Amino acid sequence: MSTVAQQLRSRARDAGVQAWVCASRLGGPPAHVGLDPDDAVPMASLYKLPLAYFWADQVELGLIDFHDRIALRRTGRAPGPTGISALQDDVDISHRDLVRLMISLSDNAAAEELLTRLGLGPLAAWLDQTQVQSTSVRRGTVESWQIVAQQTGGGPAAMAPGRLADIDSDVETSEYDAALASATSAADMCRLLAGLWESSGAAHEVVRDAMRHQAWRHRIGSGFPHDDVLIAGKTGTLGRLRHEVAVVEYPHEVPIAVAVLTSSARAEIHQPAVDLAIGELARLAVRGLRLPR
Amino acid sequence: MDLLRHLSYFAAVAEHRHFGDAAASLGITQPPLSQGIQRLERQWGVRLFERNARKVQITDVGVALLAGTHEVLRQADDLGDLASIWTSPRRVRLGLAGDLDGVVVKLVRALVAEGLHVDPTIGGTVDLIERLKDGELDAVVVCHPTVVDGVWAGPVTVMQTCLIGSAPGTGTIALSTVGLPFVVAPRRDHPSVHDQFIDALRRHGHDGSVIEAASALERDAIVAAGGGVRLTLDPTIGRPIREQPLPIRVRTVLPVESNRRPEVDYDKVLGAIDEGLPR
Repeated sequence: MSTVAQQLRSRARDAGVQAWVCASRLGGPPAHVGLDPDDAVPMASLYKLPLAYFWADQVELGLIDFHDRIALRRTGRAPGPTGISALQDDVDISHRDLVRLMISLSDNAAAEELLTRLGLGPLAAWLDQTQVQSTSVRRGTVESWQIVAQQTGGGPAAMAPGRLADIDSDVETSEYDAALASATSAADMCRLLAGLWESSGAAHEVVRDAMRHQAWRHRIGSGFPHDDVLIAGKTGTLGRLRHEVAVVEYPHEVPIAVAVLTSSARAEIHQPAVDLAIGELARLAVRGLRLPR
Repeated sequence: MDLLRHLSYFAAVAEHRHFGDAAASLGITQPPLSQGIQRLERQWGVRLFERNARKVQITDVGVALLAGTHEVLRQADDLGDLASIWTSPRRVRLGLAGDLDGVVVKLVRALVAEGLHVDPTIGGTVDLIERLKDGELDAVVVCHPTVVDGVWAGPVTVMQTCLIGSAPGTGTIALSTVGLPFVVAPRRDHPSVHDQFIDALRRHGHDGSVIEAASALERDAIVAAGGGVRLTLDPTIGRPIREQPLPIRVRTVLPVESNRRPEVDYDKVLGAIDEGLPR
């Protein structure tokens, strides 16, 4: 009978990915499983999660009123396929709705606005005083893609995703290097989720609810195809990096945090097989931790 | 006593069940063989063989000690092999992916032409990289894409292919007109390459069906029997495929710098491999 780590390694090999996995029960006797859970991995848009959690702490400290309105002008807006990034005109929106978009749609414009207002420095200081030793948010999405574009021949950031998807070469970028890009570990992500799930503020509930309403369910969710199981998740994608972290909530059971970080051998942009493998890795990690409440 | 020598006597008699044959296999005469077995039995205080008039029979104790004996002899051999690596510095333990039929010979010759002694191993891409990381191989030439964590991986070389086993003729053939499955290496050897290949087949009008066969010879036989088609890197024996949708992409993978052997001229190896690959 193979261990969970062996099963995870074998499934990852079959999917053509390197995987880092951690799952941890958020209640009951402590229990967790993992595959290289403490390795530092570049985090792509997962940084939006600690950013949202930091925001919620700021709100609960009275430093932000989440009803406050924010104006996002149509010019100078962070590009992206979803949310305010995808809109053409000026937008006026509340703090909490901005966080909703940032988390449930991975809205780049929302994320850039929040990161500018909260600040990389204060975010780093907040991360330092949590339990997460391997997590560093070094920049936002806009700067990440600009760096990739610079390192792959120059030109606008919009060219960068296509360059990373070149199947005839192995494109390198410092955004694939955990020492230089924003990075985290699977175990750190589970710790952050545990902290978020224990927090009792209204702002924390905004973040959790946004995660429960993430607009796609093809990654971790594909491992739990049950209408009554809630997946509160956040994906992260950049080139070969395909990640998701989530809290899986079976009815009447203790919630389980699971983080699946992957780097695929294939460079293509669309990789449904990897998305499915992430679901299966999550399922393999979670199943031994289930516990009735 | 020379334990290894006596163990090899024990193993030989156990294998041949006949002192004369065992002695012949060791290249010695029977008396020293018998004496050696007796000395071992005295040393261990056990009886390894029952000798009666007609044949030699291994005892229960002998059976119990035989596995351990083989293990010790095998490890002694491995040690010898390891030692010989250090005495022949130009020896390169080279791994080559099994789906590179047509290229293997050229590559090995290119290395030999550089004065390198090559110990070739054929295997699946993923396994070869594991063995490289374990220190069993010095360099591997494998198919891209594959996971390359913990190793140094060189640039990707893209090689165009031709088709064998389709309708006779020499002109360019369109993939959408190929009704037979493609005969390929097992998916397990290189899951990413396999899946990408099937996606490419479908993208260009083939239904994506494949037959997996473990050896190049087996694949050749299936194609010869009309059971499928296959790719070749040799343009003289296959038909070009319209739009060249199915290239083979390879890269040379080496251990990370801190794990490399000082005796191996890795630059020379890389240069020779580059020379040996068709473009």
